[in-house]
Amino acid sequence: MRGRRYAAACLAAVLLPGLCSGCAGNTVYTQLRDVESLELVRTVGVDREEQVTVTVVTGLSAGGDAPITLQEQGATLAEAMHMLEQSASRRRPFYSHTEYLVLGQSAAEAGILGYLDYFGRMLEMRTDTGVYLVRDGDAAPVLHSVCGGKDGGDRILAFLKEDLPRTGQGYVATCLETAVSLERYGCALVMAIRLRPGEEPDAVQVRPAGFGVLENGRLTAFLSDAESRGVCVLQNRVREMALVTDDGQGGKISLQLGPVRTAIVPVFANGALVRLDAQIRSTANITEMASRRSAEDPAVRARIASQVEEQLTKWAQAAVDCAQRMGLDFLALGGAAARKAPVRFAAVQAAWPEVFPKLDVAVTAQVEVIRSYDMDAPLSGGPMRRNAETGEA
Amino acid sequence: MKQKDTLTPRQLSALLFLGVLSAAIRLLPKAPVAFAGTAAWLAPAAAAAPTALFTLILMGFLRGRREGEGLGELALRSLGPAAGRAVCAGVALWLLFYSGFTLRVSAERLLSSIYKSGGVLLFAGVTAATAAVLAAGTLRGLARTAEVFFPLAVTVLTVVLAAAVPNLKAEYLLPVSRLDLPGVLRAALPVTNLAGLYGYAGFLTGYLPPGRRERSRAVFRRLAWGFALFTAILFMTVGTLSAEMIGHIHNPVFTMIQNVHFYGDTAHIDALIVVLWVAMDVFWLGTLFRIQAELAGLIAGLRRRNRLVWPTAAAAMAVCLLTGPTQFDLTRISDRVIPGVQLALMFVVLPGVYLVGKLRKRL
Repeated sequence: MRGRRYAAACLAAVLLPGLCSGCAGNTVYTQLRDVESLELVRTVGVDREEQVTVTVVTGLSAGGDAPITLQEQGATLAEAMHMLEQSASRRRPFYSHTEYLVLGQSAAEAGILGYLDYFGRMLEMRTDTGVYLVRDGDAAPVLHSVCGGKDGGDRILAFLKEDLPRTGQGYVATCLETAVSLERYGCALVMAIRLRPGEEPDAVQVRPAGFGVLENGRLTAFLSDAESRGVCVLQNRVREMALVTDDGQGGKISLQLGPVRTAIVPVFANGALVRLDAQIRSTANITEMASRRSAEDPAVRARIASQVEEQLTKWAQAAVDCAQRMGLDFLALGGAAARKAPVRFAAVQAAWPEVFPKLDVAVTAQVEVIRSYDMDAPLSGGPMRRNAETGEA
Repeated sequence: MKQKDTLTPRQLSALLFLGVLSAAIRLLPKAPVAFAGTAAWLAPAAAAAPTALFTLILMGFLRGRREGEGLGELALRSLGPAAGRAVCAGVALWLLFYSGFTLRVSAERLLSSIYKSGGVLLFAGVTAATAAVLAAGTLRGLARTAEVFFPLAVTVLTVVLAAAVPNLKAEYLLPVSRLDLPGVLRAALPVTNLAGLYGYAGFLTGYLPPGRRERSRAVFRRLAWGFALFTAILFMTVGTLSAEMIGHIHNPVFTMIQNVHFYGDTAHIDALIVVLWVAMDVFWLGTLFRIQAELAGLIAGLRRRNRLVWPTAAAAMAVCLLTGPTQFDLTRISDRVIPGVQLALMFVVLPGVYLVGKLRKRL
């Protein structure tokens, strides 16, 4: 009996994997498709006028072929996607590797909640897909000209996503982050991009164009470059940033800022919230200095630090002013204050939308110049001249 | 009871733990978050005390068992043949409903995560048949397979949770303050309920070797590990998805796993996790079928109780097809019916039977 069972088990072990191979149609997988029969979509673009227009672009093939672009329309995103699957003649679009959702301005103005819902509901999609918004334009041209080009795919958008935290111009929120912000604060920020003519004929470039502000899922405004930088500073989204200041004597000094960290501290008096302190801290390294004064001089460093502090404060204040003017806490200051003083802030929580626009928000910055790399003193351009009276260089 | 078919406390624990883990992945994030919001990840800590109380009651009850006795036999001894059989029949019927529900939920999970155009019958049928094959043999065989599978399941889950760490956000986990205490205490209920599933091990203690008793320290050590895993699951799902989004998502753990990347490239490992999850369901269903067969055999006075596994599986399959029929109905059952019955079994029926047994000096 045991021998028979053993033989049956061995036979099953040999035969069953055959059903799992996917060959000759004798397979247990009902939805199995060879990878050759799939178009691996990397970017999905959505535009809206009367209907939803969806444009999808695949990645670059291993052989260097240009990405494939497909486009369809439907009453909803789901219907447009369905139409796309039907119209794809040779290969089926496969969305599991979608990295970016690019929204046209008209689509964002009409409301993006349905698109976020679709990304959460669709089995193949992921909620950590990055969201871009095209300022003053549609998504389709971006996907056709930037992603669909021979050097395109999702590389340019990926490069931009990597680069933004280093320049302090913005960050790319995911579908999940956007949805959470909308659920929590009723508003969210989406990174906007803009098409610009490139150097070569017919070439285009993508440039960051500030944040788009979504209110209850609809695009209502755009932030300026300064306001967007202020958002990044206040939300601790700046990993490093290049800045140029002057030495006060006509010379320019280039700086590389380290991570910018901002602490939001609520100030209470008699149990009432009277102020929010936004305390910014960062470090600066000198990357280029064409100046007659050396950074070894503490006064020079103090002047540099003060200029950077002024710049950071100006950006952050611009973002705060904009948020208060719009009455939208897209900076998540309420959340940051609640984390700092949860019990005392609980009294304000319910009335936060009314309290926030009138609240005093004090922004301060503290920057220290800590490094000048391998150049202790800037080049003087000639032999040192000494002051005849004092003897100093 | 077949004395050759024995298992160690460790094997029994692995078998039950897989079932609890399967239910934990399904239930944990949503139920506590509904009560405690951002502070839901503290719910396992709050559930430790009621779970410890339940464990002490259960162990006190089991301490009075004789060779080959499980909770079913103890209930018969405590309450007398008629009332004892009635209680056993009630528990068996409950487990029949629960296993049918588990089958349905398992099939629905495959439909909502991989095979969007499949059918419930196929997935539920294959799962039920596989579980029945495992459960109809020796219990030792089922438990040893679970013992081998257990470290794999825990390792994969741990690796996946660790891989999700880069997606953690402090603002999704905080603030937490004393104001969250009432919510956290309410959130402890579903966690206690979940930990209580471990108590079904009591129906299979008759298979432990004679003289081999589970030591309290070992039981509590296993429970502590279980609670650590519960906390990790809650912490990671709340920290990566936020309490607000968990309220909207059907399978939060699954969504969290969908967003996991390895080396910034490898994505969509969710299919692998679903396979593991289905395997855990198979062990859990096998255990439930076997407990029902044990109880049915006890009521009918049969010796070879494993023969009742197949009829039990067929009945569970029928319940599965009748349960629901929509995903929304399943959610309602999962949120309202199951926790209520489960808590009643843990804190009313079990202590009640124990008390009667003590009063009647039958234990």
